[in-house]
Amino acid sequence: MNKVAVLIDLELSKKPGGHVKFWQRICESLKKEKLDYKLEFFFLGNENTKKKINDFISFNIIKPIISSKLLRIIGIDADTTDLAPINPWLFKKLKSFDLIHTTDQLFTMAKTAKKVSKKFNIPLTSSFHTDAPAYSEFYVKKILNYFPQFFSNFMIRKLSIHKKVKYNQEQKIFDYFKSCEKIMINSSIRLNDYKKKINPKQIILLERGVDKKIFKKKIVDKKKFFKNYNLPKNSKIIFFCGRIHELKGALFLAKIHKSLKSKGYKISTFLAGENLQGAQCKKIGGDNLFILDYLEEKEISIMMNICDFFILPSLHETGPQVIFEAKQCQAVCLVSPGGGGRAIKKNEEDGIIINDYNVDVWCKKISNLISDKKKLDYIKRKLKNDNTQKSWKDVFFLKFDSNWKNLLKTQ
Amino acid sequence: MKNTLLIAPHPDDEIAGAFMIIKKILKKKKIIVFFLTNGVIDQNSLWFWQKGFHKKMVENRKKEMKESMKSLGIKKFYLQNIYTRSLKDNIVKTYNKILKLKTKYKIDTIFCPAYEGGHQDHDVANFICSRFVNICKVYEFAEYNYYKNKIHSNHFFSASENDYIIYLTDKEKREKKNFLNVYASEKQNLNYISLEKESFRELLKYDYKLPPHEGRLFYRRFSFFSWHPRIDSDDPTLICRKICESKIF
Repeated sequence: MNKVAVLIDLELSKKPGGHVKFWQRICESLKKEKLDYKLEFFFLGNENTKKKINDFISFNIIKPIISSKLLRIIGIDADTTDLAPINPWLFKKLKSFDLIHTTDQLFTMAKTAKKVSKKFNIPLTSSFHTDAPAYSEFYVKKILNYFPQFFSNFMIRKLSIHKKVKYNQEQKIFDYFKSCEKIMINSSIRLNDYKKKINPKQIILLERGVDKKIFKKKIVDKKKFFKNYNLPKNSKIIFFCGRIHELKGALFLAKIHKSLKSKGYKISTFLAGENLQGAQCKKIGGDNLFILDYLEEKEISIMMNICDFFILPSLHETGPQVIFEAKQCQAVCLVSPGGGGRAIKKNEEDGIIINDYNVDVWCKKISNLISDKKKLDYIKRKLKNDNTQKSWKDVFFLKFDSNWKNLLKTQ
Repeated sequence: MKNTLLIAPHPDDEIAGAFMIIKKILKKKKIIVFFLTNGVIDQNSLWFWQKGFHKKMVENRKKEMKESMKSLGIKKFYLQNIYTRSLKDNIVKTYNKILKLKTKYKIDTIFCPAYEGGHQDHDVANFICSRFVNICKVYEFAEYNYYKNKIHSNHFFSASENDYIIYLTDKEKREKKNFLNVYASEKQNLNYISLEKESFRELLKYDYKLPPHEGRLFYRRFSFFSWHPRIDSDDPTLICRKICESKIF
């Protein structure tokens, strides 16, 4: 039986981010399926272990050689990855596979896979899950701002170092894709960028799945919820889910909360997710802003069913998973175009896209919506009638399995 | 897609495989349904105590078919009054009838069941419709298959990125179940339909010389009891041979 390796150069922790969750959910949906090949996943972890999921799927946990945790001291609080140029153990291991799939293009596993693919002529495919260049731009700018102003100004304004880093990473990603048989890319906007540089036949439009058993419209006891949090009657609930970090727009949302309150609106804002800057959000937002920390999927679904608005101001998202899930719960989503907007088919129909990253603009939109029941009902009706959201199993079989099988056949 | 012809090898396939496709997509177009068989096996294959009721069984199935069409709001439908599992012996005749319908109603799109080994008539229907790919658009919809010894309903065993999937809401599931209940005579045969979703895509190029997939096909999963009237005793290689021997191959 053929063997396929899927490399996820991120830590398999108890509180994973969207990229890791994507593959965890795929695996979950495949537990009862019989595949035509053996599927081995590689994640990072504290020690080297192997775990069998079923007869076809297994997880390998490998220790990073140079963990990016080291960069936390200079303020890079992104998920942990490996920064080594190659992993010799993985190199040796990957030789025995018939196909290798990488889920990033810049770090150790991806680099190792490319070398193995080239040397042993093993087909390589890759999927794009995280907008690493945009994150790099943000962190480089952040680090440069630690330096004296004259130096940081020179580096940022004159030399645009942060933009150059972003551009270089993008080029590296393009180059990586050139050595792949197939690439799976998330959104149509980026797809057009890539189409200019890569053979369109190589490109597969990657979609996100949703566990519809968990994320669906259901009746929830809103009164009990209001009582538990001692919320004022008729208070509008805003819910945010994701890493509680400025990159996801958490601080921006806290400012929206504060502004709406100052205008006399009864607003309660709940932020759920890895708590990185929760205290700062609370400090900005004040009363009725709650930090819920990391929630289980079922709890997230309840919150999505309770909330009046699901807000994700994040500017950079490749596949905003939470928006797909919120839409399944018929929550009205307010998003930025390059962030959650990638999950909105038509503005003002299945969600609201706000182009201007300005607190006042967002507040105005929210206040208009609060008084426009017709509009809210229209969006909810559209969400209710949408039958197109794929399940994780279908995403796997339509986007990965079919292409991998074709490549394995031609070998 | 203006004038559509939906091919249903048996009365009930239009619900089992294409209920949502009809409701969501085809209802907005001009749609004609062509039932290729009457859905009842021939008299000689029935138990001896059932033989006397054969005519009534056919009438019942026709009545159910009409009720289904009425509920779906489809006014134009045709039935080829031949028995289930006899389509393989009527390939050219059926092809000509579809061609006639195509000309008469200026059909530009055909929907037919997938080549997936669900039922021999489905596979033969898929082959017949594949002959039209050069003159109109042909789509196939998934009904049921037994790929890797597991029942999959409304899901192609050979998924491709061009598959269209419609997921049913709870309300639509209930609605589809009610429509399936119209075919009371087939109640025992339809319990494996999962109601979760429906899938369709442009017809793939199949090699009709070979069965749809390796391993046991859906209609052969109880082949040990092939003497039972409800069990199809025809071997998939026979179906492939009949297809290959037909004049339109």
